[in-house]
Amino acid sequence: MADFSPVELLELFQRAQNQFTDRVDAVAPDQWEDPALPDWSVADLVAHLVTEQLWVPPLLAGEPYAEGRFPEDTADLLGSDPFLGWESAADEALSAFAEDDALVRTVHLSRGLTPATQYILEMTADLTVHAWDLAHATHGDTELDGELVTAALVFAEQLPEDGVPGLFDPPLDTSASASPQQRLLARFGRKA
Amino acid sequence: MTQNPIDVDEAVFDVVERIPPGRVSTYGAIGRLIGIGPRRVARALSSGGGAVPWYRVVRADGTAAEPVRVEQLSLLAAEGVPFRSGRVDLGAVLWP
Repeated sequence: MADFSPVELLELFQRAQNQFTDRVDAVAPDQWEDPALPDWSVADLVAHLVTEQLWVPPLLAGEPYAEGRFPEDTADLLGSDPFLGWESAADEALSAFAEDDALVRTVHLSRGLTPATQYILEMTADLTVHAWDLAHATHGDTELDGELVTAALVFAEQLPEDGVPGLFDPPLDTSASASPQQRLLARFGRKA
Repeated sequence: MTQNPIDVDEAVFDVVERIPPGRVSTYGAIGRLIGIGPRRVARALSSGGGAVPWYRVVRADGTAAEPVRVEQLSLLAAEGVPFRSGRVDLGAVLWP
């Protein structure tokens, strides 16, 4: 695990949320059904991130991951105002991670027990890469915050060489001159 | 939701006015009281919150927005609000 202090991890997470919020804010009303990722619309992508945020308070409270804890339907997750749905979930997650001892806890993810510091770094990387997905799908600002790219690359270095089926796409090749953002996107199988 | 933007701003100011000295709320908590999101609360306060104690509202992690951080933290410190690692200790002073 890289040398990020709990204060730095929390700050990076807040910035990653904020960057994603900017991209959600920029989605035009007629773009929600546009394709974002294979089999996912823009709405599905934002709903996926909403679910991840909704899980933060229960996981930090010691509840183990379990299917069916939250709605699975995109419309149920986003409600009548997708931006508000996203913001509310993000706000609750940030509050939970900001509790005094939150980052010294251990969480029960689907793959097993994980330190909360690792969990928040993974969430930060996920928010960062998906902020690019969302911007890419909606023809918005695809330039990512450089510090978030660095943090996400730290997480990416820990992943198996050929990805994780169903979770992380296998890496694409990059040229030696690729920028950190290009390397990050390639690491997660995105063609920039 | 088709609320008049000025009415929304006024609703934010009405709630923020009720935060007592020495207590702190968050954009999200204020928003939940009136049915809007944190960013909308922040926008109301940054555009016209000068007449209410805007500085008693911070982010959900207890941090202040960068452009007003120094001013905000010193106003809160003057009211005796406790901090940890540069963040408001929300566990001690969260309102409501």
